[in-house]
Amino acid sequence: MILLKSAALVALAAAAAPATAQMVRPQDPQTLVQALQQGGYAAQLAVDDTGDPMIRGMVGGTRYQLLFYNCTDHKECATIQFHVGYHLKTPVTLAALNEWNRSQRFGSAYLDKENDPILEMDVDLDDGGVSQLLFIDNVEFWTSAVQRFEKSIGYSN
Amino acid sequence: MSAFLLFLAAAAATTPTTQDKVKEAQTLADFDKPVPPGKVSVANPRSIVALLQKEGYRAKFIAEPGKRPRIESAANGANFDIYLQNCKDNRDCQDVMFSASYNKRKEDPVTIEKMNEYNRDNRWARGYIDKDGDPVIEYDVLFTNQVVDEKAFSEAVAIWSDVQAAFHKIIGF
Repeated sequence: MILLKSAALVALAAAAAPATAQMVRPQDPQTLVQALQQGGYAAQLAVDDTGDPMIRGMVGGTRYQLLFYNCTDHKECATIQFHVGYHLKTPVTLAALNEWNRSQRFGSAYLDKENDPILEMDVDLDDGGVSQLLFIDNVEFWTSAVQRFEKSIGYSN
Repeated sequence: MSAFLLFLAAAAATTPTTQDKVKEAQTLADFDKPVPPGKVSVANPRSIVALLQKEGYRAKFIAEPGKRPRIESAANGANFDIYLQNCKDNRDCQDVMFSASYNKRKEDPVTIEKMNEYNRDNRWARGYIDKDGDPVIEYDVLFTNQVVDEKAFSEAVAIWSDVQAAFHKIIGF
C-alpha cells in the first residue's frame, strides 16, 4: 500500500514538473530518491549513524549506501558519496586494489581497517543542485563501476 | 650524416605540409564549439582555460596529434593536467579528469599502503602507484552533453586544489 502510494506520488511529480525544472538537490534528499526511482533504480530514504540522511540503493542484487556530506543540522547537505563494502572469504590484496585504481575511472577503492574492500564515488551536487540527466549519468557510472569492481574482487551474490 | 638527417627532420618539423595545416585547422575547429552562457564546455577547452585563469591558475590548452587533449595547469606548487576524456580519435570528448603524477623518490618511495591510507581517509579522488612506481592522483568530473555550469566547475577546481594538497601531505611532497 505504502509502495503504491509513493509510486503514485512519483508519477504525479513526473507529470507535474517538466524534466528540465526538476533539479536533484542534496538539500532535499527526496529529489535524489525520486530521480533514482524514475531512472529505474530502487532507492529508500534512511538516516545514517551520525543522524544525516542516507539513501539505501540497490545495484544488481548488491545493496549500497548513498551518504550525504557537508550537512548543517543533518539537513542542507551539499555533497554525496556512493559507498559499497564487501566482506569476503578470500581477502583482496592492496596490489589488486592499486591496479583497480590505476586502470579505472570514477570512484576509488581501498581496504578499510577490517581489511574489507570498499568502493566509493563522490559527487558534488552544487548549491542549486544538478539536472536529473547529470545525476543519472553519475548513477550509471557508479552502477557500472560496482559491477566491474565485483568481478575484479571475485564477489558474486 | 646524422647531422644532415637531423637537419632534414628539423626542416620537416618547421615546414608543415598543406595536409598538416588542414588537419590542425580541423583540430582547432573541433575544439571551438559554441559555449552556452554560464557554462564551460569540453568541446571548447578555451572556456575551461578562461575559468581557470579567472580563478588565478595558469592554464594552457594542448592538443598534440595522437595524444589525449589536455589543459596544463598548476596548484599547490605542482603541475597538474586536466585531460579531456571519453574522446573519439582524441576529439569530441565528453568529460574531464584532473591528474597529477610525481616522480618516484629514490629513497623511501611511496608505498601502496600509503595510497590505501590516502584513499581510505580522503574523498573525491583516487591515488595509486603507476607502473614506474610514481604516485598518481586522479579526480573525475562528469559533464552533460559536453557542458557543465561554470559554478560547478569552479567548485570542482576548488575540490581538486584541496585533493592535491592532501595528496602532497601523504606523499611528502
